[in-house]
Amino acid sequence: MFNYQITAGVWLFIVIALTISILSLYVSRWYLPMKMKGAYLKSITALAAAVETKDSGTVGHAQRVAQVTVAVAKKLGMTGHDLERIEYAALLMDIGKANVPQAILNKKDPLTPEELEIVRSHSKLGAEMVAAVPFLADIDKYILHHHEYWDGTGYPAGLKGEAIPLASRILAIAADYDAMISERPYHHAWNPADAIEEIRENIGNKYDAKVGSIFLEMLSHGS
Amino acid sequence: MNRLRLYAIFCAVVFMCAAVITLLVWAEVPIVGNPWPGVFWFALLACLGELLAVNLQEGAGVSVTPTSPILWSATCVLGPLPAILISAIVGVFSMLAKFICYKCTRVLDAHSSYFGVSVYKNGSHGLITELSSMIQGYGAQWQERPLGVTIQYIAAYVANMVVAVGPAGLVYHYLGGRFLIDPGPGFHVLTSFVLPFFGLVAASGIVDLGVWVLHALVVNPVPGAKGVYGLLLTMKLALIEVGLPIVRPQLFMLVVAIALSYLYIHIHVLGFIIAATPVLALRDFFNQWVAEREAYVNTITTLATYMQHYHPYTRGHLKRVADLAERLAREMQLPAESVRYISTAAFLHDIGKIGVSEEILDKTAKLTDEEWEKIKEHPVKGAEIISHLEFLDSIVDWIKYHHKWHNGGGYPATNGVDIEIPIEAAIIAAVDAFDAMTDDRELAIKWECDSCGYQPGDNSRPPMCPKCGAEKRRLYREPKTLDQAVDELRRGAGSQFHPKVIKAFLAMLDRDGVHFSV
Repeated sequence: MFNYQITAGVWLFIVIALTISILSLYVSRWYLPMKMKGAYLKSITALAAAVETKDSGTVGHAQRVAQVTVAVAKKLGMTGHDLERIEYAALLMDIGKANVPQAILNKKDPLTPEELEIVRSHSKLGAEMVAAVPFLADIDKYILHHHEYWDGTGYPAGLKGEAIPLASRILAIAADYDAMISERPYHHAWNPADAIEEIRENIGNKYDAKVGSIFLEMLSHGS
Repeated sequence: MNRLRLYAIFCAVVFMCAAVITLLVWAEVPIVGNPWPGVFWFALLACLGELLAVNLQEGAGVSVTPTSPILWSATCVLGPLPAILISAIVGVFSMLAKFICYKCTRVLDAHSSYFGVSVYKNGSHGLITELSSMIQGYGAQWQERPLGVTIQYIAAYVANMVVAVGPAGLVYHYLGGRFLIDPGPGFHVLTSFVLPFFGLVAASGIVDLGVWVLHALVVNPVPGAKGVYGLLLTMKLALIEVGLPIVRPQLFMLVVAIALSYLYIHIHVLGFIIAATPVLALRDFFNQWVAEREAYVNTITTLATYMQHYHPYTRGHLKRVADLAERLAREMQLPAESVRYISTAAFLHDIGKIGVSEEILDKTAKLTDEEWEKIKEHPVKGAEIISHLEFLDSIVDWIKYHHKWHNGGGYPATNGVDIEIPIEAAIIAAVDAFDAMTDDRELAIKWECDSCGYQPGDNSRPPMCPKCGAEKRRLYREPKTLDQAVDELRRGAGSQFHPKVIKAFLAMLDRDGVHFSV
């Protein structure tokens, strides 16, 4: 009753259908996620920068730390999704300072113990903020522990060694170095050579030896 | 006239139209060849297609289904009468499917602990989640109505589908179109198929729009607008808000319909698979796009909202402002984009305060000029921050001007240049002022003079310290009652506030009260 005639027109439609399908899949699975990633990075950078305006002297801090952190993480063999997460963590690590009074952040004199407590609460506040957003919930640990030191002298939990997430260990060293070489209300900018020396001395006690050596190696290559 | 009765008349009119058109088609257009196997296949395809509806507008209930190209194609392949039969089958199937999905959702909701909430609601992968979200989405289109209204609704829905197909089929026939399963001698592709087919699509589009406008007139006329003006306004809004989004994808559907007809004639049902592939891929793309966009806006808005969380009371204030602003935007019939983004803007309107020191923000004494200058910077700073986010571009101005007065006062200063304050900024301004006036957050802060340390001892909140005479900020005074706040808004209409916004706001408060859906 019915003849199947595969004419040139049928072939044409098959080719068109396949082209549209492949194009659309390409856009939705590759181009769109890439574009959205760009939007997230741009927006998160802007929000981090907004918090930085509060804390005079830290403008650009998060962005510089993010660059260094990503480079170190790459050297440590992180790829793709992990790398993306660590970049967000670096940008957002100080977002908790949004809820720390400006007067304390910019104080020139030494802080009182209560004030120190308030400043130190920024890692916890930041982790809480990030945990409230489903898209970023998995990086709250990195932010919570970005001021922990290898020997357990950091805050808020005083974690030691491998108990600190790797991402937080990278963040700690990158953030400390950038803080040393920039001008802050409570200290002048260090000479980069002195800062490197300081970091080198603390590898093994404050900083993870593996992360530290890669970090120093990168700095000596001038990147 | 009573809304329900009007709706019943609407249903009856559509149903009568459907019946007349069917009879007319029966009398006018002969059935050619043997269309019945085709009826089965096209109906099956259309029923599957109906399940793949794509929501065009959140909440507006406007969805695009691939049903119309299938019905157009059925008309020119099999003839108008078989197409009418298919449309009736699809209409009944669609109603039935919505009802069943609705019931399924209810059962799943009731037994969610049994099925495992994590699988059913929170999971983001897997076939089961996909399926259950489809069932939920489809079931959400069904509304619990009284039985009589439900029958009317179903009849009107089915009749509506028939009405969209019948006249289009007649147009195709009168323009000289032949039915492709048996085109007969003298068939010419251009004059016997392509040109009449464009006529068919145009007719179908016009009928669709007509029914939509009629539906809007009956079901949701513009509140407050009466008489001929109200009718025209409703028609205009129905055309712009709903009509155009429906018509726009029709060009794409036209291509799909031609492909379907051609492929069915040459390779029968196999052709459906070829035509369906790109449609499914595009649908996947569209869904992906909407979901990504939604996730992005939610993430950034939440994060930014938490950043302004410097005061335990701020979050509640922002939520209420966002909620009221969205309702007011709906009330004022602003474009869909504005309605969608105004709550985002309301959540972020004070984000510029992040750069203003807490000492100034929390100060209870009257501010010095210098401190005022600092506070006045916050809309511009906020606009700067927002400009880096990938939201709707115009949001930047909504935030920049939310402290600009209707008469040119307020801030930021525009140096004598006359700027047009976006209506959305005026909405945020009015709602923000209203919530600040009625909010009792100040009551939670103990009144204490920060110049001399005087405490009144009772619950009084004097605007000036009785001991040292230091003046206090307006915010630090007693909150106003609802009536006082409304009076204040009315007094400020035309000077501080946009008169149209205040008019709509007061009408809305009068009708709905100040409930919050938070």
